[in-house]
Amino acid sequence: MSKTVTITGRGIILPDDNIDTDRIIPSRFLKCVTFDNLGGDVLADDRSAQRKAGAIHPFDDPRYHRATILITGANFGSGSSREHAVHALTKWNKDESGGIKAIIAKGKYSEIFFGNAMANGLVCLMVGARDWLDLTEMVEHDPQQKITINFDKMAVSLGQKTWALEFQQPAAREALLSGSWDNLTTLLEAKDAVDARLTTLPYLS
Amino acid sequence: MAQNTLYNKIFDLHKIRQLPTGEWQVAVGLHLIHEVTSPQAFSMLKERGLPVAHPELTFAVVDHVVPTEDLSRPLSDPLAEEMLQHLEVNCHEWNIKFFDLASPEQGIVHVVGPELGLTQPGKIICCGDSHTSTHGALGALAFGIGTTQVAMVLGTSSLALSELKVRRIEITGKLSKGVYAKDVILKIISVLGVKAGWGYAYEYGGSTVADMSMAERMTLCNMSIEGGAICGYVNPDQITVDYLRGRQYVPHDPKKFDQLSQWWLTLASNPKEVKYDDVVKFDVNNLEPMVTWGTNPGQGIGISERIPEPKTADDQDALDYMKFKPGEFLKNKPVGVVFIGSCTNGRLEDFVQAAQVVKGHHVAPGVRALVVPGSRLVKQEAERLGLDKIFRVAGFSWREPGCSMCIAMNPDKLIGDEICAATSNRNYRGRQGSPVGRTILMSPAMAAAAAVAGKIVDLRNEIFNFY
Repeated sequence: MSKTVTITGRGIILPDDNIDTDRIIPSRFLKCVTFDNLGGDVLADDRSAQRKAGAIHPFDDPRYHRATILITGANFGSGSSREHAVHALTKWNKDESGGIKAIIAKGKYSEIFFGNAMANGLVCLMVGARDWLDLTEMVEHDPQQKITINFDKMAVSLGQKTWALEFQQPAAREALLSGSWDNLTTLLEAKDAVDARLTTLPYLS
Repeated sequence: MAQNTLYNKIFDLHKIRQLPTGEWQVAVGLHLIHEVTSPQAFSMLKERGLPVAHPELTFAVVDHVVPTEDLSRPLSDPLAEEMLQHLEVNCHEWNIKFFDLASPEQGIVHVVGPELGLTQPGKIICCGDSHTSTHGALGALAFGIGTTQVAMVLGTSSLALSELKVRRIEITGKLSKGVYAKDVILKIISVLGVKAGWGYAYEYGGSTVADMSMAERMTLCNMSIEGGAICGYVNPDQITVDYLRGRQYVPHDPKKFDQLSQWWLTLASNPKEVKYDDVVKFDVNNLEPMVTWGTNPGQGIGISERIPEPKTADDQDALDYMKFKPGEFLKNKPVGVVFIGSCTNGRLEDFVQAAQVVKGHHVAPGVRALVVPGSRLVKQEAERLGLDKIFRVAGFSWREPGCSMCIAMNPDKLIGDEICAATSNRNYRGRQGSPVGRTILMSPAMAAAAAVAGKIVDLRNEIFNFY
């Protein structure tokens, strides 16, 4: 994976806390053997509920059409370990905007989701509660403005304003800056040691 | 950090090296795979030209997409058939043991692992499924992983993990009649919340847990993830040893089994030397049957309690979705569907408890009631006891084993905003297949009572055979 220092893009807001993986991609869309076509159905039930209520969901709102940075509440991605949720976000509007590339939440993410997202290059960040409100207001006011996330400075900026960012796992920043998020390659380096250990485990020997 | 807990002992045993990120590379002793989260992982390996490192430590089941009425091939849903075929091809190509639809051992991965004795104390067990925490009931470290991690385990039999903290959940008291492990775990999550387990493994212990059967312990550990803990466990004891003796994948030589089981018992957290990061205590003497009113598993109350005033916007959204009002009782809410099954409550004991309530009664008019065994072995044993007849005579549909209406990736789905009394683990919006479907989580006996009454009842007060 290449080194990542900054991500720049427009914002989109889902203010709720506890958005679970079944909301991000309802289970009926999981019948697939590749992750390629999940983008269109991201948040499908929330979006259709809004349509039925005569309202417009942010993911259908033309104002947010080319957004790549999702701003959301705490405990995002709770529930299942299915990586489909990550891919539904990263493949939303893929052709036009390139999909969601980063998430800024006002609290921690569900742990399995965090791991899944980072492993697939969807960067999960946090800001303080007050900063989150400021950021949300500014994006709502003008969704066309570009947000810049800088991992070197661990800051997010929009217009004249800058706020401090945080990772829920400090190792994540290191991995992004050094480009070493590819765990499979790293793990393979110690394959012989793993094989040796397996032969000595009491339940396998 | 915690010291000398079962968690620490197993983690240390499997540690290979510390990575530059601070995480540990840890060996994985058992990898369970299924049709939903593995095809993409096999593709990732193939893209890189990597083989499966240890097919002999890898076992596959088909569970999520199983149609529970008609198992004939090709499956009626072409997408489900495609997923099944991918698993067949991948298992064949890599020589992985696959308990397929025709196998006598087929079932939900978290029911099959323990009942075949694949799940054992001391193992690190992974599966691309968050309810892998179930296997902790036998004193294993078991947790769900994403598909990228499934590829890592397939390719290297190891993972990069951060060491967790350990929270001891001490449960004491005797459960009243009509109150079960499901009620205990729903209570724990309702008190601690759905985020309290972040960064923790949950160790369940205390006199109540010591008295629990393996099936009850599995129900408890299954829902650890609903409390935010990726991993939950019970220390192995004589109940664990007795449960595993004679099962297919444990040593059949009595001497070897004894040796192994002696080792299992040494893994238990020793109260004299153990240190936890946190301890919480629950007294369950007065616990009543639990039911959920909202759209996450932490939104639960005792059956005699009123739905609480919303404390957050999230609570209010949940009430709006469920079409419930604060101050109402869940008791007497009509149900359209009853689902008894899942990796939480799809074991023989669960069906015995439900059948006790159902016997001599009939499902209320207009209620669709499904009983879905967690595995073919569970189904066979239940049929040997005549439970299928009790359910059928009462008007329940007795199905083939699978995940079914817990996740509705098969034809079993709610319609519209039906209310379902469900023994599964998640009451998320849309979880049971209808975007506006409503799920109320409860124990198998309570769900059975709801089927008979046609509404949510307090089974302790109703005139069922139960008493």
